[in-house]
Amino acid sequence: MSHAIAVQVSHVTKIFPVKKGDGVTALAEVSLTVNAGEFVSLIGPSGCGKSTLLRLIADLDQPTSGAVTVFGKPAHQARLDQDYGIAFQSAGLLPWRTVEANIELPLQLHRVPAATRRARVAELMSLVGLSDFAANFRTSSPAACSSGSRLRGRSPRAPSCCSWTSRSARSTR
Amino acid sequence: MTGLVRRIGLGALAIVLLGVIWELYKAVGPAEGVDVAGLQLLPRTTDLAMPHIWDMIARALEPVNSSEGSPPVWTSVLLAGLSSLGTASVGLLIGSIVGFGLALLMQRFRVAESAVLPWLVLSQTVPLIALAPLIVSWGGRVQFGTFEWERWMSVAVIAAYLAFFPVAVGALRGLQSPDEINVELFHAYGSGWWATLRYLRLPASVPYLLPALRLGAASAIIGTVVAEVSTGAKGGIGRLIIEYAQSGSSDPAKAYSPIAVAVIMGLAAAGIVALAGATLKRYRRNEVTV
Repeated sequence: MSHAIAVQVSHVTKIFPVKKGDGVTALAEVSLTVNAGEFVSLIGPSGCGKSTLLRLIADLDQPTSGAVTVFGKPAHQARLDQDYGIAFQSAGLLPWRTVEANIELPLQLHRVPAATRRARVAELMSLVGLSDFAANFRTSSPAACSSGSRLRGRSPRAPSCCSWTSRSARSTR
Repeated sequence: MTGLVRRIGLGALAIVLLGVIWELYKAVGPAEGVDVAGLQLLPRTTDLAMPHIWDMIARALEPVNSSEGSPPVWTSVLLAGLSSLGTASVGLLIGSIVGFGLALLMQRFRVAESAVLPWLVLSQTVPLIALAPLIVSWGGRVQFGTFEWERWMSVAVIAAYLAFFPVAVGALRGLQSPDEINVELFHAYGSGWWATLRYLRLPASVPYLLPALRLGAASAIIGTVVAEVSTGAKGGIGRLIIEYAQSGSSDPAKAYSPIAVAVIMGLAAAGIVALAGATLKRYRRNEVTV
Protein backbone atom coordinates (compact mmCIF):
# COMPACT_ATOMS: atom_id res chain seq x y z
CA MET A 1 0.00 0.00 0.00
CA SER A 2 2.87 2.36 0.82
CA HIS A 3 3.66 3.01 -2.85
CA ALA A 4 0.04 3.87 -3.73
CA ILE A 5 -0.74 7.52 -4.28
CA ALA A 6 -3.39 8.96 -1.97
CA VAL A 7 -3.53 12.57 -3.09
CA GLN A 8 -2.28 13.98 -6.35
CA VAL A 9 -2.43 17.72 -6.93
CA SER A 10 -1.19 18.88 -10.31
CA HIS A 11 -0.71 22.46 -11.46
CA VAL A 12 -3.56 23.77 -9.34
CA THR A 13 -4.35 27.45 -9.37
CA LYS A 14 -7.08 29.02 -7.27
CA ILE A 15 -8.16 32.59 -7.81
CA PHE A 16 -10.92 34.05 -5.66
CA PRO A 17 -12.88 36.64 -7.62
CA VAL A 18 -13.33 40.03 -6.01
CA LYS A 19 -15.72 42.78 -7.00
CA LYS A 20 -13.03 45.06 -8.38
CA GLY A 21 -9.77 43.98 -9.99
CA ASP A 22 -8.37 40.63 -11.08
CA GLY A 23 -9.17 38.60 -7.99
CA VAL A 24 -6.99 37.20 -5.26
CA THR A 25 -4.61 34.44 -6.24
CA ALA A 26 -4.54 31.99 -3.35
CA LEU A 27 -2.65 29.19 -5.09
CA ALA A 28 -0.56 29.34 -8.23
CA GLU A 29 0.60 26.24 -10.07
CA VAL A 30 0.75 24.03 -6.99
CA SER A 31 1.72 20.40 -7.46
CA LEU A 32 1.88 17.86 -4.66
CA THR A 33 1.88 14.11 -4.26
CA VAL A 34 0.99 12.38 -1.01
CA ASN A 35 1.50 8.64 -0.81
CA ALA A 36 -0.79 6.40 1.15
CA GLY A 37 0.46 6.00 4.70
CA GLU A 38 2.53 9.14 4.47
CA PHE A 39 2.23 11.82 7.15
CA VAL A 40 2.34 15.32 5.68
CA SER A 41 2.17 18.67 7.42
CA LEU A 42 1.49 21.87 5.53
CA ILE A 43 3.27 24.71 7.29
CA GLY A 44 3.18 28.37 6.41
CA PRO A 45 2.13 31.80 7.59
CA SER A 46 -1.56 32.51 7.80
CA GLY A 47 -3.15 33.42 4.50
CA CYS A 48 -0.66 31.47 2.41
CA GLY A 49 -3.28 29.04 1.09
CA LYS A 50 -2.95 25.97 3.34
CA SER A 51 -6.66 25.79 4.00
CA THR A 52 -7.49 26.56 0.39
CA LEU A 53 -5.39 23.63 -0.78
CA LEU A 54 -7.03 21.30 1.75
CA ARG A 55 -10.47 22.54 0.76
CA LEU A 56 -9.70 21.76 -2.88
CA ILE A 57 -8.56 18.25 -1.97
CA ALA A 58 -11.73 17.75 0.09
CA ASP A 59 -13.87 19.09 -2.78
CA LEU A 60 -15.29 21.87 -0.62
CA ASP A 61 -14.10 24.26 -3.32
CA GLN A 62 -13.10 23.87 -6.97
CA PRO A 63 -9.73 24.89 -8.45
CA THR A 64 -9.66 27.63 -11.08
CA SER A 65 -7.32 25.43 -13.12
CA GLY A 66 -5.41 22.22 -12.62
CA ALA A 67 -6.56 18.83 -11.34
CA VAL A 68 -6.90 17.14 -7.97
CA THR A 69 -7.19 13.38 -7.67
CA VAL A 70 -7.75 11.43 -4.46
CA PHE A 71 -7.13 7.67 -4.47
CA GLY A 72 -6.93 7.89 -8.24
CA LYS A 73 -10.35 9.52 -8.64
CA PRO A 74 -11.33 13.13 -9.22
CA ALA A 75 -11.78 14.90 -5.86
CA HIS A 76 -15.53 15.19 -6.43
CA GLN A 77 -15.97 11.45 -6.94
CA ALA A 78 -13.72 10.59 -3.99
CA ARG A 79 -15.88 12.77 -1.74
CA LEU A 80 -19.11 11.18 -2.94
CA ASP A 81 -17.57 7.73 -2.48
CA GLN A 82 -16.49 8.73 1.04
CA ASP A 83 -12.97 7.45 0.49
CA TYR A 84 -11.55 9.59 3.30
CA GLY A 85 -12.54 11.59 6.34
CA ILE A 86 -11.91 15.16 7.34
CA ALA A 87 -11.31 16.50 10.83
CA PHE A 88 -12.39 20.11 10.74
CA GLN A 89 -10.58 22.79 12.68
CA SER A 90 -13.56 23.63 14.89
CA ALA A 91 -15.76 20.94 16.37
CA GLY A 92 -18.97 21.81 14.46
CA LEU A 93 -21.07 19.52 16.61
CA LEU A 94 -24.85 19.70 16.26
CA PRO A 95 -26.15 21.13 19.55
CA TRP A 96 -29.50 19.31 19.43
CA ARG A 97 -27.78 15.93 19.32
CA THR A 98 -26.13 14.21 22.27
CA VAL A 99 -22.43 13.50 22.03
CA GLU A 100 -23.18 9.91 21.08
CA ALA A 101 -25.69 10.98 18.44
CA ASN A 102 -23.07 13.36 17.03
CA ILE A 103 -20.57 10.53 16.66
CA GLU A 104 -23.30 8.44 15.12
CA LEU A 105 -24.22 11.09 12.55
CA PRO A 106 -22.05 9.98 9.60
CA LEU A 107 -23.11 6.36 10.07
CA GLN A 108 -26.73 7.47 10.11
CA LEU A 109 -26.20 9.50 6.95
CA HIS A 110 -24.84 6.39 5.28
CA ARG A 111 -27.85 4.35 6.35
CA VAL A 112 -26.00 1.99 8.65
CA PRO A 113 -28.41 -0.15 10.72
CA ALA A 114 -29.07 1.12 14.26
CA ALA A 115 -27.54 -1.86 16.08
CA THR A 116 -24.31 -1.62 14.09
CA ARG A 117 -24.21 2.12 14.75
CA ARG A 118 -24.51 1.68 18.50
CA ALA A 119 -21.73 -0.87 18.64
CA ARG A 120 -19.45 1.27 16.50
CA VAL A 121 -20.15 4.39 18.61
CA ALA A 122 -19.22 2.53 21.82
CA GLU A 123 -16.04 1.26 20.17
CA LEU A 124 -15.05 4.74 19.00
CA MET A 125 -15.78 6.36 22.32
CA SER A 126 -13.44 3.95 24.07
CA LEU A 127 -10.87 4.57 21.34
CA VAL A 128 -10.70 8.28 22.09
CA GLY A 129 -11.04 7.77 25.82
CA LEU A 130 -14.54 9.09 26.30
CA SER A 131 -16.19 5.85 27.36
CA ASP A 132 -15.72 6.57 31.07
CA PHE A 133 -18.10 9.43 30.54
CA ALA A 134 -20.42 7.53 28.21
CA ALA A 135 -23.18 7.35 30.80
CA ASN A 136 -23.20 11.12 30.97
CA PHE A 137 -22.61 11.77 27.32
CA ARG A 138 -25.51 9.61 26.28
CA THR A 139 -27.84 12.34 27.46
CA SER A 140 -25.65 15.39 27.65
CA SER A 141 -25.36 17.92 24.90
CA PRO A 142 -22.01 18.99 23.44
CA ALA A 143 -22.47 22.38 25.16
CA ALA A 144 -22.08 20.65 28.52
CA CYS A 145 -18.64 19.26 27.64
CA SER A 146 -15.23 20.81 27.97
CA SER A 147 -13.73 22.03 24.72
CA GLY A 148 -11.25 19.18 24.74
CA SER A 149 -14.02 16.65 25.09
CA ARG A 150 -15.89 18.43 22.36
CA LEU A 151 -12.98 18.02 19.96
CA ARG A 152 -12.70 14.39 20.91
CA GLY A 153 -16.42 14.00 20.35
CA ARG A 154 -15.82 15.27 16.87
CA SER A 155 -12.74 13.33 15.97
CA PRO A 156 -14.22 9.83 15.97
CA ARG A 157 -16.59 10.97 13.25
CA ALA A 158 -14.01 10.79 10.50
CA PRO A 159 -12.83 7.23 11.21
CA SER A 160 -16.39 6.13 11.87
CA CYS A 161 -17.36 6.75 8.30
CA CYS A 162 -14.04 5.75 6.84
CA SER A 163 -13.75 2.38 8.42
CA TRP A 164 -17.26 1.71 7.28
CA THR A 165 -16.18 2.21 3.72
CA SER A 166 -13.13 0.16 4.79
CA ARG A 167 -10.59 2.54 3.39
CA SER A 168 -7.53 3.84 5.14
CA ALA A 169 -8.46 6.95 7.04
CA ARG A 170 -6.50 9.94 5.95
CA SER A 171 -7.04 13.11 7.81
CA THR A 172 -6.41 16.07 5.58
CA ARG A 173 -5.70 18.34 8.49
CA MET B 1 -43.02 24.00 37.69
CA THR B 2 -42.98 26.95 40.07
CA GLY B 3 -41.86 29.02 37.09
CA LEU B 4 -45.01 28.05 35.24
CA VAL B 5 -47.25 28.88 38.21
CA ARG B 6 -45.47 32.20 38.53
CA ARG B 7 -45.99 33.02 34.86
CA ILE B 8 -49.67 32.12 34.96
CA GLY B 9 -50.03 34.18 38.15
CA LEU B 10 -48.34 37.18 36.56
CA GLY B 11 -50.55 36.83 33.48
CA ALA B 12 -53.69 36.77 35.61
CA LEU B 13 -52.39 39.73 37.61
CA ALA B 14 -51.94 41.71 34.39
CA ILE B 15 -55.58 41.09 33.42
CA VAL B 16 -56.78 42.15 36.88
CA LEU B 17 -54.58 45.24 36.68
CA LEU B 18 -56.10 46.14 33.30
CA GLY B 19 -59.58 45.90 34.86
CA VAL B 20 -58.53 48.02 37.81
CA ILE B 21 -57.12 50.73 35.51
CA TRP B 22 -60.35 50.67 33.48
CA GLU B 23 -62.54 51.09 36.56
CA LEU B 24 -60.18 53.62 38.15
CA TYR B 25 -60.26 55.87 35.09
CA LYS B 26 -64.02 55.46 34.83
CA ALA B 27 -64.35 56.52 38.48
CA VAL B 28 -62.09 59.57 38.44
CA GLY B 29 -62.09 60.60 34.76
CA PRO B 30 -64.43 63.41 33.62
CA ALA B 31 -67.69 62.21 32.03
CA GLU B 32 -66.97 64.04 28.77
CA GLY B 33 -63.40 62.76 28.59
CA VAL B 34 -60.38 65.00 28.17
CA ASP B 35 -59.91 67.08 25.06
CA VAL B 36 -57.18 69.52 24.22
CA ALA B 37 -58.01 72.17 21.61
CA GLY B 38 -60.92 70.14 20.30
CA LEU B 39 -58.83 66.95 20.08
CA GLN B 40 -60.17 64.06 22.15
CA LEU B 41 -57.25 62.64 24.13
CA LEU B 42 -58.96 60.46 26.72
CA PRO B 43 -62.32 58.72 26.18
CA ARG B 44 -65.62 59.59 27.81
CA THR B 45 -66.35 57.73 31.01
CA THR B 46 -70.12 57.41 30.62
CA ASP B 47 -71.72 53.99 30.93
CA LEU B 48 -72.36 54.14 27.19
CA ALA B 49 -68.67 54.59 26.28
CA MET B 50 -67.11 52.58 29.10
CA PRO B 51 -69.49 50.10 30.73
CA HIS B 52 -68.56 48.70 34.13
CA ILE B 53 -66.69 45.40 33.98
CA TRP B 54 -69.32 43.75 36.18
CA ASP B 55 -71.99 44.99 33.74
CA MET B 56 -70.12 43.30 30.88
CA ILE B 57 -69.94 40.05 32.83
CA ALA B 58 -73.59 40.29 33.89
CA ARG B 59 -74.61 40.97 30.28
CA ALA B 60 -72.65 37.92 29.11
CA LEU B 61 -74.76 35.75 31.41
CA GLU B 62 -78.10 37.14 30.17
CA PRO B 63 -79.92 35.92 27.04
CA VAL B 64 -78.88 37.37 23.68
CA ASN B 65 -82.27 39.03 23.11
CA SER B 66 -85.76 39.08 24.51
CA SER B 67 -87.19 36.43 22.17
CA GLU B 68 -88.33 33.11 23.62
CA GLY B 69 -85.61 30.47 24.15
CA SER B 70 -82.76 32.85 23.40
CA PRO B 71 -79.45 31.38 24.66
CA PRO B 72 -77.23 33.38 27.03
CA VAL B 73 -74.71 35.66 25.37
CA TRP B 74 -71.70 33.72 26.63
CA THR B 75 -72.74 30.40 25.05
CA SER B 76 -73.57 32.11 21.79
CA VAL B 77 -70.20 33.91 21.57
CA LEU B 78 -68.28 30.86 22.75
CA LEU B 79 -69.88 28.70 20.05
CA ALA B 80 -69.15 31.35 17.45
CA GLY B 81 -65.56 31.55 18.77
CA LEU B 82 -65.11 27.78 18.47
CA SER B 83 -66.41 27.86 14.92
CA SER B 84 -64.02 30.71 14.05
CA LEU B 85 -61.14 28.93 15.77
CA GLY B 86 -61.83 25.90 13.56
CA THR B 87 -61.77 28.06 10.45
CA ALA B 88 -58.60 29.81 11.62
CA SER B 89 -56.93 26.42 12.27
CA VAL B 90 -57.68 25.31 8.72
CA GLY B 91 -56.29 28.64 7.53
CA LEU B 92 -53.16 28.27 9.65
CA LEU B 93 -52.64 24.72 8.42
CA ILE B 94 -52.91 25.73 4.76
CA GLY B 95 -50.81 28.82 5.38
CA SER B 96 -48.09 26.85 7.15
CA ILE B 97 -47.89 24.24 4.41
CA VAL B 98 -47.73 26.87 1.67
CA GLY B 99 -45.32 29.05 3.67
CA PHE B 100 -43.00 26.16 4.48
CA GLY B 101 -43.13 24.92 0.89
CA LEU B 102 -42.14 28.36 -0.37
CA ALA B 103 -39.31 28.53 2.19
CA LEU B 104 -38.00 25.15 0.99
CA LEU B 105 -38.16 26.32 -2.62
CA MET B 106 -36.32 29.54 -1.77
CA GLN B 107 -33.68 27.68 0.24
CA ARG B 108 -33.11 25.15 -2.55
CA PHE B 109 -32.87 27.63 -5.39
CA ARG B 110 -31.25 30.98 -4.83
CA VAL B 111 -33.00 32.21 -7.98
CA ALA B 112 -36.35 31.40 -6.40
CA GLU B 113 -35.44 33.46 -3.36
CA SER B 114 -34.72 36.55 -5.44
CA ALA B 115 -37.79 35.91 -7.57
CA VAL B 116 -40.35 35.01 -4.90
CA LEU B 117 -39.40 36.98 -1.79
CA PRO B 118 -40.35 40.43 -3.14
CA TRP B 119 -43.75 39.02 -4.17
CA LEU B 120 -44.29 37.66 -0.67
CA VAL B 121 -43.67 41.09 0.82
CA LEU B 122 -45.89 42.66 -1.83
CA SER B 123 -48.68 40.15 -1.15
CA GLN B 124 -49.00 41.43 2.41
CA THR B 125 -49.55 45.00 1.29
CA VAL B 126 -52.82 44.14 -0.49
CA PRO B 127 -55.66 45.20 1.82
CA LEU B 128 -57.62 42.20 3.07
CA ILE B 129 -60.89 44.03 2.62
CA ALA B 130 -60.18 44.35 -1.11
CA LEU B 131 -59.28 40.68 -1.38
CA ALA B 132 -62.22 39.18 0.46
CA PRO B 133 -64.97 39.72 -2.15
CA LEU B 134 -62.62 38.45 -4.89
CA ILE B 135 -61.94 35.20 -3.06
CA VAL B 136 -65.63 34.73 -2.30
CA SER B 137 -66.53 35.20 -5.96
CA TRP B 138 -63.76 32.86 -7.17
CA GLY B 139 -64.84 30.31 -4.61
CA GLY B 140 -68.40 30.54 -5.88
CA ARG B 141 -67.18 29.22 -9.24
CA VAL B 142 -65.38 26.23 -7.75
CA GLN B 143 -67.39 23.08 -8.07
CA PHE B 144 -66.40 19.47 -8.57
CA GLY B 145 -69.07 16.81 -8.33
CA THR B 146 -70.93 17.10 -5.08
CA PHE B 147 -68.31 19.38 -3.53
CA GLU B 148 -69.54 22.87 -3.05
CA TRP B 149 -67.53 25.87 -2.00
CA GLU B 150 -68.81 27.32 1.23
CA ARG B 151 -68.39 30.75 2.69
CA TRP B 152 -66.19 29.56 5.58
CA MET B 153 -63.72 28.14 3.07
CA SER B 154 -63.21 31.60 1.63
CA VAL B 155 -62.61 32.83 5.17
CA ALA B 156 -60.04 30.05 5.73
CA VAL B 157 -58.27 30.95 2.48
CA ILE B 158 -58.05 34.60 3.57
CA ALA B 159 -56.72 33.53 6.98
CA ALA B 160 -54.14 31.35 5.20
CA TYR B 161 -53.18 34.31 3.04
CA LEU B 162 -52.22 36.25 6.17
CA ALA B 163 -50.69 33.29 8.00
CA PHE B 164 -48.33 31.98 5.31
CA PHE B 165 -46.15 35.08 5.29
CA PRO B 166 -44.54 34.91 8.76
CA VAL B 167 -44.15 31.15 8.35
CA ALA B 168 -42.41 31.51 4.98
CA VAL B 169 -40.03 34.22 6.20
CA GLY B 170 -39.28 32.49 9.53
CA ALA B 171 -38.80 29.07 7.95
CA LEU B 172 -36.47 30.50 5.29
CA ARG B 173 -34.31 32.13 7.95
CA GLY B 174 -34.32 28.92 9.95
CA LEU B 175 -33.39 26.72 6.99
CA GLN B 176 -30.53 29.08 6.18
CA SER B 177 -29.38 29.26 9.79
CA PRO B 178 -26.86 26.37 10.01
CA ASP B 179 -23.26 27.49 10.21
CA GLU B 180 -21.08 27.17 7.12
CA ILE B 181 -18.94 24.66 9.03
CA ASN B 182 -21.89 22.31 9.51
CA VAL B 183 -23.04 22.65 5.92
CA GLU B 184 -19.50 21.75 4.80
CA LEU B 185 -19.43 18.84 7.21
CA PHE B 186 -22.51 17.38 5.53
CA HIS B 187 -21.00 18.18 2.15
CA ALA B 188 -17.86 16.30 3.15
CA TYR B 189 -19.99 13.31 4.16
CA GLY B 190 -21.33 13.30 0.62
CA SER B 191 -24.89 13.98 1.81
CA GLY B 192 -27.40 15.16 -0.73
CA TRP B 193 -29.87 18.01 -0.30
CA TRP B 194 -32.51 15.77 1.24
CA ALA B 195 -30.26 14.28 3.94
CA THR B 196 -28.85 17.71 4.74
CA LEU B 197 -32.40 19.01 5.05
CA ARG B 198 -33.51 16.21 7.33
CA TYR B 199 -30.52 16.04 9.65
CA LEU B 200 -29.25 19.61 9.59
CA ARG B 201 -31.55 22.28 8.20
CA LEU B 202 -34.87 21.09 9.64
CA PRO B 203 -33.62 20.66 13.23
CA ALA B 204 -31.76 23.97 12.97
CA SER B 205 -34.90 25.74 11.77
CA VAL B 206 -37.02 24.86 14.83
CA PRO B 207 -35.99 27.87 16.97
CA TYR B 208 -37.02 30.12 14.06
CA LEU B 209 -40.08 28.15 13.07
CA LEU B 210 -41.87 28.21 16.43
CA PRO B 211 -42.03 32.00 16.82
CA ALA B 212 -43.02 32.19 13.15
CA LEU B 213 -45.88 29.77 13.76
CA ARG B 214 -46.96 31.81 16.77
CA LEU B 215 -47.09 34.91 14.58
CA GLY B 216 -48.86 32.90 11.90
CA ALA B 217 -51.48 31.70 14.38
CA ALA B 218 -52.18 35.26 15.50
CA SER B 219 -52.40 36.36 11.86
CA ALA B 220 -54.80 33.51 11.09
CA ILE B 221 -57.11 34.62 13.91
CA ILE B 222 -57.06 38.25 12.77
CA GLY B 223 -57.55 37.15 9.18
CA THR B 224 -60.51 34.99 10.15
CA VAL B 225 -62.25 37.74 12.12
CA VAL B 226 -61.66 40.39 9.45
CA ALA B 227 -62.67 38.01 6.66
CA GLU B 228 -65.86 37.01 8.47
CA VAL B 229 -66.75 40.67 8.80
CA SER B 230 -65.98 41.53 5.18
CA THR B 231 -67.49 38.42 3.57
CA GLY B 232 -70.52 38.38 5.83
CA ALA B 233 -69.89 34.75 6.77
CA LYS B 234 -72.43 33.54 9.32
CA GLY B 235 -71.76 31.67 12.52
CA GLY B 236 -68.36 33.16 13.31
CA ILE B 237 -67.15 35.59 15.94
CA GLY B 238 -66.55 38.34 13.36
CA ARG B 239 -70.23 38.41 12.58
CA LEU B 240 -71.16 38.70 16.26
CA ILE B 241 -68.67 41.52 16.84
CA ILE B 242 -70.47 43.56 14.16
CA GLU B 243 -73.96 42.48 15.23
CA TYR B 244 -73.45 43.26 18.91
CA ALA B 245 -71.65 46.52 18.21
CA GLN B 246 -74.69 47.69 16.26
CA SER B 247 -76.77 47.47 19.42
CA GLY B 248 -74.08 49.51 21.18
CA SER B 249 -76.20 52.57 21.89
CA SER B 250 -78.90 50.63 23.72
CA ASP B 251 -76.89 47.73 25.08
CA PRO B 252 -73.23 48.83 25.39
CA ALA B 253 -72.04 45.99 27.63
CA LYS B 254 -73.02 43.32 25.09
CA ALA B 255 -70.31 44.22 22.56
CA TYR B 256 -67.50 43.25 24.92
CA SER B 257 -68.38 39.55 25.04
CA PRO B 258 -67.34 38.74 21.45
CA ILE B 259 -64.23 40.90 21.85
CA ALA B 260 -63.24 38.93 24.95
CA VAL B 261 -63.81 35.68 23.05
CA ALA B 262 -61.63 36.93 20.17
CA VAL B 263 -58.85 37.56 22.70
CA ILE B 264 -59.34 34.09 24.19
CA MET B 265 -59.13 32.63 20.67
CA GLY B 266 -55.79 34.32 20.17
CA LEU B 267 -54.52 32.98 23.48
CA ALA B 268 -55.79 29.49 22.63
CA ALA B 269 -54.02 29.56 19.27
CA ALA B 270 -50.76 30.70 20.89
CA GLY B 271 -51.23 27.98 23.52
CA ILE B 272 -51.64 25.27 20.89
CA VAL B 273 -48.42 26.38 19.19
CA ALA B 274 -46.64 26.46 22.57
CA LEU B 275 -47.79 22.89 23.25
CA ALA B 276 -46.43 21.80 19.89
CA GLY B 277 -43.19 23.56 20.79
CA ALA B 278 -42.90 21.74 24.10
CA THR B 279 -42.45 18.45 22.24
CA LEU B 280 -39.49 19.91 20.34
CA LYS B 281 -37.60 21.05 23.41
CA ARG B 282 -34.18 19.70 22.53
CA TYR B 283 -34.11 21.67 19.28
CA ARG B 284 -34.87 24.96 21.02
CA ARG B 285 -31.46 25.83 22.31
CA ASN B 286 -31.46 29.45 21.37
CA GLU B 287 -34.88 30.61 20.33
CA VAL B 288 -34.93 33.81 18.36
CA THR B 289 -37.66 36.36 17.97
CA VAL B 290 -38.47 37.41 14.45
